[in-house]
Amino acid sequence: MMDYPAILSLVIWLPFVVAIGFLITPVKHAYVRYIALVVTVIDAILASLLFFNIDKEMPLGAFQWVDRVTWIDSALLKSQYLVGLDGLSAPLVLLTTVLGVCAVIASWHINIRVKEYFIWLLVLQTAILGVFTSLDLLLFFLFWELELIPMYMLISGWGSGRKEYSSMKFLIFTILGSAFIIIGILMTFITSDPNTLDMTMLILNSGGNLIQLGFYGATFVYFCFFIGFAIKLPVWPIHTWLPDAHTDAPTAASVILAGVMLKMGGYGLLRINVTMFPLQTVAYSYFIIVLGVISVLYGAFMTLKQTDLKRLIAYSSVSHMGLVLVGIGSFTSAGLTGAGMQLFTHGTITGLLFLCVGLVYDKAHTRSIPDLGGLFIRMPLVAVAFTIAGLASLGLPALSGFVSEILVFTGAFSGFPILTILAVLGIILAAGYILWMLERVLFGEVKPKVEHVTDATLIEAFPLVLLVIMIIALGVFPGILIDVLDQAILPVVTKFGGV
Amino acid sequence: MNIHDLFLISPGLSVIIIGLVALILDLATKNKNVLVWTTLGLLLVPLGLGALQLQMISTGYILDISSSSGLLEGKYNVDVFSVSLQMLIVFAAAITVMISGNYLTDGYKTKGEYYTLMLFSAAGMMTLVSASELILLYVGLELTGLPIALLLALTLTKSATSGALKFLVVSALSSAVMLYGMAFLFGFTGTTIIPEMSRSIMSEGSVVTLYSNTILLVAVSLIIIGIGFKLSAVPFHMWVPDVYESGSAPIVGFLSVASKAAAFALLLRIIYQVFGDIYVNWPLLISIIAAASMIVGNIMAMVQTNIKRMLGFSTIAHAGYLLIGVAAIAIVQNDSSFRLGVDGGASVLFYLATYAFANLTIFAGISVVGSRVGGDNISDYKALIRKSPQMAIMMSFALIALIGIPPTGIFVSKFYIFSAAMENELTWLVIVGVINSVISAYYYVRLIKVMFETDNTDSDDNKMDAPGLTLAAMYITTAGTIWLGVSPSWYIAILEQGISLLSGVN
Repeated sequence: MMDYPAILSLVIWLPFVVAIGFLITPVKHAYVRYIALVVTVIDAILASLLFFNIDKEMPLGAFQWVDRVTWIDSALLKSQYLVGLDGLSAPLVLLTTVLGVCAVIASWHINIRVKEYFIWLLVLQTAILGVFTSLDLLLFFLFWELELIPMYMLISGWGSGRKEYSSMKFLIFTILGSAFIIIGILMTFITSDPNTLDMTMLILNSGGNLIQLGFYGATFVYFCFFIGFAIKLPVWPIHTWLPDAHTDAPTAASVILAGVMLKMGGYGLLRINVTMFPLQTVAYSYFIIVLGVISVLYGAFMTLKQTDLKRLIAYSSVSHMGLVLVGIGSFTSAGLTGAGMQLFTHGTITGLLFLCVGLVYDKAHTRSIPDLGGLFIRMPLVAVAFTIAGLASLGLPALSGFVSEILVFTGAFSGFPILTILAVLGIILAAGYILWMLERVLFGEVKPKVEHVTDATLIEAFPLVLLVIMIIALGVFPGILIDVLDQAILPVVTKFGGV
Repeated sequence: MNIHDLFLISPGLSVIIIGLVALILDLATKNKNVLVWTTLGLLLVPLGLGALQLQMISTGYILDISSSSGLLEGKYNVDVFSVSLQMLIVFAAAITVMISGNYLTDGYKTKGEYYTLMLFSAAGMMTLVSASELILLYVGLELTGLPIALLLALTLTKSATSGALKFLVVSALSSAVMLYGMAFLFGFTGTTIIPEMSRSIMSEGSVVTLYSNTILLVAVSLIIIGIGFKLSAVPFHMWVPDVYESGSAPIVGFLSVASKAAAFALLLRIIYQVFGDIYVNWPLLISIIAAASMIVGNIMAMVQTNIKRMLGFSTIAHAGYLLIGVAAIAIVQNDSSFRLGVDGGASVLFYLATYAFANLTIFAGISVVGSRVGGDNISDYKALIRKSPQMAIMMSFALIALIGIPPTGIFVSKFYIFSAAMENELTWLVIVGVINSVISAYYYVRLIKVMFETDNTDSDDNKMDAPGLTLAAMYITTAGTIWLGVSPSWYIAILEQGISLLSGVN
């Protein structure tokens, strides 16, 4: 058993410390990206060590590698620096650090304001890791907000197209979501007895004996959190920031945005809404599933008419994140585990898709589907990765997407057969748009714009290979992930009579 | 006059003396730097004295704070509350001295008067936070306002003079309104000493008649209106944008930070020592003013093109956030009366300090850019990251702080104020506050965006070199913003002690 003090804090803060180092030392621009790569790789190795050593037998509300320091201690406010890992957060921490490595490599060609760029990228990684690991609501919110500014800067500073508009839209939507979340946090804090922001205590609350709100008061708090997280996830009809932000962000930011940042919403739903307010989740399951199904179908239909590759993947993200809601609404062990797994698998799959699109865009300088064609001939390596990611995205068996989707569907089917069938329709649509897209982009004759493109270089290919391995591995051995997730999710379900 | 009394009033007194020293020094030397450095160095004295007083209070050495014997006769309070605020005011004055250098090199023909007037105003504010007697309070109020009006007019341009005149008129008007309210209070209670007033109301108030209630309602309303002008709260805010636009950046920064702190101190003292015994629904009044200030301030700030005007409206909005904390002081009891709580007051004081750090950083930046570019339009800040990366980063950080995004002091203070309000069942006001924070993000971020906007044509030749002293001031205030954001606990503890002592006097 690995038990080093502050190892989790090291994982969280390492990128931040290095970013500060970039800021205050005159490090040469040429070295910045190498240092960033080394740091993210170290972070990923540490995170994977933590992931593979997580104790799968922990009871509900127990966490590993907990670091606890009193932060604010006054008559009213009591807050701690409290971080820890359990089965729900460990996979997401692993995902964040792995995609962090991919993002740094995808940023290799960045040549304007290099240092500033990598500072923001590293700060972003710390903020997201903080969200997944913090166990104090105020600290959680601190990290949740901290992530805003780096992402805003990355989109508005290094993006393309209508980057000003998109980044501002992203910012306003997210801050709006934060407003709901902070109201939820405040109400939880004030109505808990004794007043506490400590999630390890609040999670044990579950039935509502700690948070003295009554059912409808708790429902209000529940929906404050729900709206805040739903904006991030994103859920129809508050998803509109996502296609814009994705389309105009630089590749690395898209990878982080789709791969990890959306998962913050799903994580929040699972960690706070499901675990702390299970009664409300059960009571409003119909509503949640309907929203999920609408997102699935709406995202899928919108995908069919996109001509911009990034926008297409963005809408497919809306569709796939809808499945997370379906899984949560079902409130069964299979559904919730599927939702948690969907977070992870979608992170790897969409991360890979965006990496491929980024490479295509870098070489061909276009993302417009009609301008592309015959990439299989010009850049076979990228095309293979692209195909695998696409097939995983549409849920081909033996790839990771299949497992999470089938879990969600089996979880939801018994309680909500009609809605589940509708959601499955979304997957059929996904097969349509993905295969059609692959056919147009990768096959056929070589279009003039891609006449002179070259394949990915060795370093560019590395993240592609890494993610392909993860996708296949999880498709074949889903138990690696499911066992870990079950530690955090099963106790909640069994406690409230689910199956 | 014994030495003990002298020690008690020494911080304020020393600030006045420093002002006079600056005036004489200006005549004696032609070297501007000597003047600035001497003033700065001497300002460490009141800071040190304040720290010493805090230390002595905590060890129980200063005991006869509220005794009615001696020179002070209970009219001048030296407690944690007033001393901590006095130190904040002196700090703001010191930062203002540090950032005034830019303006004094070109705009002003005069130098010594500038520092003297500013320090006199600071002494007025320090009197204001300590006074617990109406007449002394009024003296403090006027001593605060008049030098500021002069300072605003000091450049003698047309817009500056009209702004100063506006400030003077509004200041006189609000003082008159407040004085009227104070007269009612005096008439009802027969005393001008605030703690004794409370006792008098208690004895009268055992029989609450319609008559006494009406008198008190009028008194309370007039005082709140009078203070409302000083707080720049809606609907008494009309002067703010004009004065902010026409005034010089350091003075406006000083006004927005120190003057606001003093006005809130006055409000808190009156609330804790008098309003607690009055069964008038002042919390509702304050809540409505708070909501209106936030909404009007934030919405108007969105459409501004002049940065100082924008910050003027932003300061109105922040007065609104602060007033949430003031409204949260009253804890409503079951029988619809209320008692006073500590959390609201402490959160207001904490917010004042964090707001001071962030706002001073921005005004320091504005004073440099304004004097280099010669304009205060938001577009003048384009590509500031190229021209002066340090200033751009620190100003952006302060703007992020003003939104309330971590890791900054205002994030903690907003959370503190909101939870105090939430605890006292002001949920609607918290929701208004949170929504307004979202709105405010729009215009603050727009400014950040402008500063980071570079079309790659900007070469290195138009570097904007900030004076070392101003940069140092920005570093200090930025460090303060981070410090209170990362480690707020110790300061909150002091403020809680201050507020509980203040309300305990009651």
